[in-house]
Amino acid sequence: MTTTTTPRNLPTAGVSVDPSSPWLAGLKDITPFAASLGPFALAIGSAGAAAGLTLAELMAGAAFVLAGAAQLTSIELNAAGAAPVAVLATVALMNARFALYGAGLGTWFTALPMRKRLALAFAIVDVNYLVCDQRFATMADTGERVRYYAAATLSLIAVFITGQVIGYHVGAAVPDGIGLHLAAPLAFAGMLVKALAGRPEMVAATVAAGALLVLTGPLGGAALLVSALVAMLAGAAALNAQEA
Amino acid sequence: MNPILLFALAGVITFAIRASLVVAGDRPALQGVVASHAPLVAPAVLSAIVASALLVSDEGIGPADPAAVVAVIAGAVAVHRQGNAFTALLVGLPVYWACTALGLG
Repeated sequence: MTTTTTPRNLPTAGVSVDPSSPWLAGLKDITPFAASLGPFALAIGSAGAAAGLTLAELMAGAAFVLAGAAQLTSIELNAAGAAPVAVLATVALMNARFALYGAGLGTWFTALPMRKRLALAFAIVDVNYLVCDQRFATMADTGERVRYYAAATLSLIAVFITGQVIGYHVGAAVPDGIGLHLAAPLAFAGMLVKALAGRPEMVAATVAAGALLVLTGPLGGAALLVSALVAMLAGAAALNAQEA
Repeated sequence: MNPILLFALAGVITFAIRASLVVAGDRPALQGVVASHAPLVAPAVLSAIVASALLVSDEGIGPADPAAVVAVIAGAVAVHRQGNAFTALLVGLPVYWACTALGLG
């Protein structure tokens, strides 16, 4: 298997692509992460079937929310009879981190009008944010960035939808011991390691984990967002100290 | 509530969240702050997500599934050595299977 060097050592899928094509570069860079998303999508589809959803209802959840963890949680809470307000509040808390991704996305596409930036923001999630954030350090042209982002995002959505459809139909046949539930944490851990480019990033990651453990008890579902914000402040302080 | 309506409302809320700092970040006063903090978003959020997945459960704070913790650590070490994020899955899942087969978890 051949690999190529990419900015900040992005993972490669072992395929030879024309580096001048943002479409192919986006597809190539996202492939390993999309593959990691597959088992998670299977698990969501399986959960939807177990909760008694129709396939149309499951697909509505995938298309409207476009966020796996929040979709899975809303399926389970709804099936358990939770109040709609409680389900929506939980979704809001779980997806609050997307506001931070939106801020980053806004900096990538400053040359675009607001309506186009908002359209692109509809599908920002953990995986395409991280992959694009790394790649855009060396890709300045807005048009190329849009094509790269579109290729990466559409690939993710294709895997997300297909995985859920398959999981809906055959998920119950997959044994628990295979560890499908672990696919997302493993993928995120891999991305985290790649994101640790320097001391400020390491400070942010360490503080985030520590703060989450401290704040989960008192804050519950809000702990993730608050921990991330505290960690970013700590990382910014480390960055300032480094530059001083 | 009808699940489709519930998901539609969840989608509206989620899009509002995604769009909030796209709109707010357009203000000149916030642009510098957003730009300087953006590189820290990924490590901060990913670390919190991984810690939450591994160390927070209905029973409280702590490793509810030690095999999963070992698998993720093994996956992270593999990524650090190999430089390919996909390695986390390739290494982590077999380690998880081995740990559960050995009764850890």
